[in-house]
Amino acid sequence: MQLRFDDQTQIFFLTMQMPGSVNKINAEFTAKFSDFIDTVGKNAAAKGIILQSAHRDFCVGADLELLESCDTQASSILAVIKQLNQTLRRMEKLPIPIVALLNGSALGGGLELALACHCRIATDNSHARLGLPEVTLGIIPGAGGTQRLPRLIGIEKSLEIMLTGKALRISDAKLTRLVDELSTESELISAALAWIKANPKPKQPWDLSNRVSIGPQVDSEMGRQLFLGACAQVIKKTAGLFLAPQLALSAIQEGLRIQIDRAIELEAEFFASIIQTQQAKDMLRILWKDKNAVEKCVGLPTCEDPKIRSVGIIGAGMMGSEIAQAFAKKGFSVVLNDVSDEALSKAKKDLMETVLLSNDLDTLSNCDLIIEAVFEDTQLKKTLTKRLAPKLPSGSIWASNTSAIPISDLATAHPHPENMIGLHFFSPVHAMQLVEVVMGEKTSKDTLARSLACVRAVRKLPIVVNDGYGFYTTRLFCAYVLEGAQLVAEGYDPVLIEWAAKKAGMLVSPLQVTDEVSLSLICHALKEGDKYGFSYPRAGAALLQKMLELGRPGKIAGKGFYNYDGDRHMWTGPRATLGIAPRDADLSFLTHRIQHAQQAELKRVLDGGIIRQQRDIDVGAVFGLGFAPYAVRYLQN
Amino acid sequence: MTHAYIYDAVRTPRGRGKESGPLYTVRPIDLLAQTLQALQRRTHLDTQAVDDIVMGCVTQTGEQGSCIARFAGLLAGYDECVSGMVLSRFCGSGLEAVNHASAMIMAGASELIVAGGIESMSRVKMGSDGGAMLDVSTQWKLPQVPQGISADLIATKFGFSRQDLDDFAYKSHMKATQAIERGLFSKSLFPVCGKNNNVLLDRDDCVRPDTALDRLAALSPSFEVMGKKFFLDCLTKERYPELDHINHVHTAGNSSAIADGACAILLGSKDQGPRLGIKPRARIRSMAVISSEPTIMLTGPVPATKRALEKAGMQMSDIDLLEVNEAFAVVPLYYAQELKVDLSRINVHGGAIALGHPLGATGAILLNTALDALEQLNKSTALITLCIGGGMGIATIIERM
Repeated sequence: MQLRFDDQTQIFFLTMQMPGSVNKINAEFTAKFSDFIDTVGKNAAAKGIILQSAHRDFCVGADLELLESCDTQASSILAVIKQLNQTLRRMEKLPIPIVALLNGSALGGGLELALACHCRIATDNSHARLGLPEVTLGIIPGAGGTQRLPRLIGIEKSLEIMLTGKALRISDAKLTRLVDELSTESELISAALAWIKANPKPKQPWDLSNRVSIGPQVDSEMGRQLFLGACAQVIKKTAGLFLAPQLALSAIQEGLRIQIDRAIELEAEFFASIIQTQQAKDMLRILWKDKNAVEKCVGLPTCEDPKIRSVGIIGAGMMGSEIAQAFAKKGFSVVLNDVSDEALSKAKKDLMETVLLSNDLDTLSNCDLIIEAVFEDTQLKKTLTKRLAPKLPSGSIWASNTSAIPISDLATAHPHPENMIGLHFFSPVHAMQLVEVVMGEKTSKDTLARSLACVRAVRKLPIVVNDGYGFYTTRLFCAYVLEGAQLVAEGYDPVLIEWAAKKAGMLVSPLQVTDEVSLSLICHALKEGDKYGFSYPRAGAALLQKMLELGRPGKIAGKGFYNYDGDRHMWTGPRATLGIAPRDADLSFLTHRIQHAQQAELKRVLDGGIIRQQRDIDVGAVFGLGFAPYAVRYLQN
Repeated sequence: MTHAYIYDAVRTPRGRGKESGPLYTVRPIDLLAQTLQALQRRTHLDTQAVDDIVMGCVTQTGEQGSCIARFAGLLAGYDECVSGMVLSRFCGSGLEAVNHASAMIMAGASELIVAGGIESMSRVKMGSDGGAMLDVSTQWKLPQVPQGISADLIATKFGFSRQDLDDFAYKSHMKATQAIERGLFSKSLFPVCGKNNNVLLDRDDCVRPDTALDRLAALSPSFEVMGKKFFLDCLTKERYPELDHINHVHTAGNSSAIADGACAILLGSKDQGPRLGIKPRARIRSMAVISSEPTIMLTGPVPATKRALEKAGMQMSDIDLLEVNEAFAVVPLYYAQELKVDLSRINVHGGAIALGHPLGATGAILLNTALDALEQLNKSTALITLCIGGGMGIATIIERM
């Protein structure tokens, strides 16, 4: 970071250029920044400050390494925050204009830095985003963001930005007054100089005594409604388990009622309380550290070029066509195969034109990678393998998208079982980041390395597990939904069971998700599982079977555990129709039952040697199984 | 301990609490001052004898702020030695003022008090006094919903249908219409006047004599949008996880009407009668205030009633008439079901659904209504009870002399 005084314009140029490719806020940055502002403050000739970045982005926020060290460093982190906040206040109260040049993204602390400037001029780069994503990592803004943003752009928009953590494009930010002016890269400086000339003595809106607020005031009727609505939304989404949005909302509402300096101190108190919570530490670990490691396949075999150009997908159901689309989007040449022309034409609607459709298996015989995504039928899968595998070029990979059938079993049909692997995508593919990569007994290191490269190429998160019926995720999924059914079969109130699961930390309740994937699919998986000695609660399974016989296969038929008639209402049938005797229970009992079923299954998965790396447990649970990252901790406790 | 006696009571007719309402042009302080004057005129009260004016008022802000009772007393020409106090127990305020006055008299601390309530909802909007109960920082620890959702929650949990509520509302209008036509309220009403002594309102005007069941049935639910679309229903989930959903069954038609109004009741010790030359009409038998679960909020009249009965050493069968505030139709319906009381004993002349609910005044108005009804029907005892925000409940038992 450097400070330069331009004699001609008498303007200070403060340029951020941290080592590496991005600007991140850490202790060193903060100390230097503070010194610079002191220097500027002492120079009576100064006419303004231009704050800019020498990197592609303006500033991407606090250095997460710093937060990660929170266990031992909490007091020093808070000292950094305090220094930064005091510096920012000192800066924005200087009697000269301060302009931030947003040449790229300003996120988290980076945006907070820009908010403490009098004016933000941005270039409308397509990659640039402005946002406060802190809550998505389990923390809240700590450098005035919860206070300056709503005072600048109003409560409604800032709640949206802070509670979702979603970043805005520059053009959208311009609409909110977050950005004052748009400019081109080459004209940024002249635009800044012009603004400085036109506004020699600017004041921040929150330092004006007679300012007009943007949108409703915090304690107006509308303001109160906005907060109440936001509060209800947070509770609905998180069952009251997730601290970050709660504290962010509290900081905003409480802070807006008081004077800015004290409001920023108050925010720092909230910030201090959240960074030391287990929840924040867990989220930082899972969503940042572990996720990064999974994304980059740290510790896993790699290859420069997987030598995979063409991908053949067998099965044009929803899963197959979505996988085809994912590969096509990344420039692979893709052939989608199905025996049914009807399935193919149905799939065609949502596919890129470059995807070749074929009802002839032989058109796939030149593919470097086959992903088989047909119905979960071992025999069918083997038959296809036997027919096509011998015709493939040597070294081509055969991946099955099975969610449960052991790869080693399927590999018996392949002349080169070392080329066979499991690539278990999750539905809907475009929204679910996880891919469970399954190593058969004979799967080679080379096959793994090349498969991982492909998974990374389609921007998915690969966790690598060992073979066994249901692998990791399907076994946990079955344990979850079966425990839901089991509890119903035992006579507990389905409505309570659903809420208990939310209270356990699951994003979707078990009976709801059972209806969504369909009872028939689950029953089929259990039947297959029987062949491999898969264990599950019998009364729950029997209940599902009985419901199937009653014509209640799930959401697709409008009838499952719920009735779907526009609205979704719980079916009262378990007691009324099936005559299950009601049993009362505390919510916490049901929560524990659900958690325990999952923990016990994980224990069996671990004992079976399925898991290869510890980090995959939480990453898999969060990105594939709908565990809330703020609550997943119980799984391994 | 001495007893507290009710010497007399007056009230304004209740006007629709909107900008088009008949009392909208009257300042709250003037509305209350006229009420105090009416009481003075009827009783030929030597106001020097009055120790205090205690008024319930919920939204104590703007022109209803700053101890309106004191200054309304002065404007009404009461002697300057008469103190004034305003209190809020939300919808129970008017009755709380009566209970407070009674307690002071029973304790021997006061001899003569004017108690009652005032609320001009057309001018001072409900909720405009703020408060931290719905703040997000409160919500995380104590999820709260607006009352209408609580009312719908009670209906869902205890099985009252939209039709049950509409039927009740219809009967409230019919009973009130009949009472007005027969002049049963005229004993206590006085006409509210404008600047030139022109009469602005001389009869309750919220009631709709032409209400019909099919018209009530056509109204849309009032709390469905905030409950479903804005997710407020899920704030009840913490306390009521067993409810799959909330049926939104309350409408503008089966909830209390927003209204303007005031009421003043003269209470004193036994000695005050001969001294002032007036006879007591009734005495306070017992009073109670309770608190219960705040999310469901509106079931408080049941435990409040039980406690008031217990304090009086009475049974439900000893009570001739009941006034259960019709904040929402489900409140008296739930009350009747829980306490196994025949609905015919409840709100014999209709209630707030038909007549209006000027928040701070209603408790006193109900007591006044019950007192008149006891005399008209030649009955002896009445119990007045109201549901209150935050899960509170209040009840008072009176007995005719």
